[in-house]
Amino acid sequence: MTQIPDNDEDAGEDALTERYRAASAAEDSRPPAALRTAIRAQAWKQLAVPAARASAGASPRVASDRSPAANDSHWRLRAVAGLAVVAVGVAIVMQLRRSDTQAPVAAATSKTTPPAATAVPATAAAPDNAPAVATGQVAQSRAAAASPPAAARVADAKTTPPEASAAAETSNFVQQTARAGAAAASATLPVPVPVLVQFEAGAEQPDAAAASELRGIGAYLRANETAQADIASYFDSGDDSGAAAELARRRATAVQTLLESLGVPASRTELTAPASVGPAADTADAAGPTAARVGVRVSVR
Amino acid sequence: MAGASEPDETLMARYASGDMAAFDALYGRHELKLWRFLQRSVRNRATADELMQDVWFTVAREAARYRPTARFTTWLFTLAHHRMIDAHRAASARPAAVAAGEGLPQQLEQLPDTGNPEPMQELESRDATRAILEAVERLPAEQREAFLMQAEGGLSVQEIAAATGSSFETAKSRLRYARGKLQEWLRESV
Repeated sequence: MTQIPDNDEDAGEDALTERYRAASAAEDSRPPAALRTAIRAQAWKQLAVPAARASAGASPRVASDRSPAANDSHWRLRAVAGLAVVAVGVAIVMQLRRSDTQAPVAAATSKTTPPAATAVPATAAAPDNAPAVATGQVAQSRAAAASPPAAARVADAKTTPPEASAAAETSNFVQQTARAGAAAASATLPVPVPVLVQFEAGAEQPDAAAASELRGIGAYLRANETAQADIASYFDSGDDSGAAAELARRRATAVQTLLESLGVPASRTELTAPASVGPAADTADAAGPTAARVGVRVSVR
Repeated sequence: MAGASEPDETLMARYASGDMAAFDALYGRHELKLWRFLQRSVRNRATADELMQDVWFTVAREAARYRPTARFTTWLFTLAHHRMIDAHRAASARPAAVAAGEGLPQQLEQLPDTGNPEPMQELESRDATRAILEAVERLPAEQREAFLMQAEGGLSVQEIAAATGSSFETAKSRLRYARGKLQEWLRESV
């Protein structure tokens, strides 16, 4: 039986290989003569090319030390080149994104910064050995981040060590950039669909699920200054005591308060008087005034 | 006249300097090995002839840039490996050709083995010479290629790894599996 070496890396000379070679040699199949002829002709042709070049004064058919060897591992060079291209691409994309997030900061600053702020360069308080990031848009954004309390900044520069001032400035810049990024991201939020706010029986505050949906509306309203929220409340008409209408009103107010806590001023929400919508059809709504509901709709004006 | 004892690398250098006899010697030395390797790898004679011509055309074209940093044989089989991959890609664009059994290493694993559909029992009726050749053809493409590189080209595991662009361990593993299967099948055929 053929024994196959177990660990020998170059175990080519064993009985199995010899058996294969013997079997292969026993076969009389050979490459066609025409193939050899064609290959030789091509080899001759390749020799003729450099000979012609040499006669024309070009360099002889000798490998240049600078040209890559035909049997080099080209894939390594290609892999490194490929990685370099990817890295450059990623760097460009990151730079572009960074520029996009800084643009809103600069725009906001131009509206709110008093002229005095621009008279105090953002880098004025930074020491000479501070990180050199104040170039182009970065410098502009840093100035924007520090611009509102311009006088305070000057005071800080006098009373705090340069290192602390630079660190605070950098921190401001980072926070401002993050806020600008968040604003830019929320500006692209889709218009929320109208939310039917749910309440527990007898409760005046929205439940957790409704509060979560209202947070989405709040985010949209913060990102879109022209957006307006209409808070329309209604109640089941089966109750004649007026308690349902009162509860609907309180619930609508609770929704308005909740939106205020989310950063939406009351001026941007509009409460409408509770409306009767007919007797409840299901058992839950038939439970009396506690079944009254408040609807919230967001519209862009 | 190119000496029969001259290393391949020397013959390549001589051919690059314009000595056609050196090319003849080189070709004669490797013609049969490479052709068998290609034929048994692709299992199609016409394709093997085409690949053979392509490989040697490349050798002739690139001779001036060849440097003896590794054995000529390794480079030769590396070229053959790459040409087979190219041929497989071209064949993949022609479904009929793939179905006809022109499959090549790597991707061939995913295709049905059309090389030798006969049951192993039929091997028993053949002589031992035929048995091992048919057993080699039954090997998975990558294992077959590794075995043939060693058996025909005399390549070491390290050289097989370099020629196929795989790691040393991968090449070693393929070779070991190939030899294990061959041994098992041949044992069954006795």
